[in-house]
Amino acid sequence: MEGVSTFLAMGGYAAYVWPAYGVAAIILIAFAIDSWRRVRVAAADLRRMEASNTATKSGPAMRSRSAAPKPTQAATPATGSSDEFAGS
Amino acid sequence: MHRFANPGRFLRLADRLQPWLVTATMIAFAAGLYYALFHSPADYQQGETVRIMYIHVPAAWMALFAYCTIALASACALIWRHPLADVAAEAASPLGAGFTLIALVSGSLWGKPMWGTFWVWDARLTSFLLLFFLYLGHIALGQAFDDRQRGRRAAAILALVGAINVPIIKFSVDWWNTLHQPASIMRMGGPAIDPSMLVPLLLMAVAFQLFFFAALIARMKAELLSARLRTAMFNRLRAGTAGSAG
Repeated sequence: MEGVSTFLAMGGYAAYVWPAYGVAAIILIAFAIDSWRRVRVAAADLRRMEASNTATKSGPAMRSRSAAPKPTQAATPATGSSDEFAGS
Repeated sequence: MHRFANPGRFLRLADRLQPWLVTATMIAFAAGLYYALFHSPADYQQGETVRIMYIHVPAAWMALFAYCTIALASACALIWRHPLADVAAEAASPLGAGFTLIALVSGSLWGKPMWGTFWVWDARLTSFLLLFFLYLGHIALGQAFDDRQRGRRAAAILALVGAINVPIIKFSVDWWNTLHQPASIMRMGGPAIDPSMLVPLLLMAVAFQLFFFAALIARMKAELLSARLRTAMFNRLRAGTAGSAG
């Protein structure tokens, strides 16, 4: 128990050592959570978009799309990605 | 490098790499913190405040490393129009700002007991504060245009112009009088620091580095997925209007 309080006292410099570690921990953890959340949100949005795309495939929107000049270029990565993100 | 120019390939590589990076980051932080807080001795002059070094120095190194990454990526983006370079620069910027803030705050908390002041306007501290503002400017400029590509180009130019600050920071302690101590690790003649303090310092440096790569890859992945979504929505919109017109 005494060992713990000596450790926490940091030789009288607790007011400087612990805030330094605390600020670093807060910033790094915030970045970790934010980065992880961004991936999750983006992947979920994309999945929802792809799901609604396949739902309307037989609709008139799809027919007109195939008539449009160059939509296949972007449509290819969108469809090819579905298995890529299944694991994430 | 151009093997990874394809965003799809980058995403596959990122997915395979990410679990290992995250695990390695956690192990490095656990080992680094154990050595930094428990295993390493107090300094004979600075006492326990020397433990702030294990946060301060890796954060400062990473602040500079992240900026060099941005400058390099910006050059690739401007010269070769590498499709991932802009994304990398944009993703690295907030992380670099975070590292700079950690270095500034921890340095301030170290300066108060050792120098008797939180802050002095000397070359090292001032140039490091400038680095923080460069990061903020880079983030803001990248988002300041409705046309994302224009914003990214402007940000890339700012990053390259601001790169002049990196050698100024590095050599500020040699060129001008300062309270800040000179380099003790990356100097001629090897590190001037005892192994008992060098080990936790290097472990924490590795941990910060791994953290940077893990977070950078995650943020790049999120941006690439969002770009894919934007393209898909744009195409659907265009297909929709074409359908109603015909």
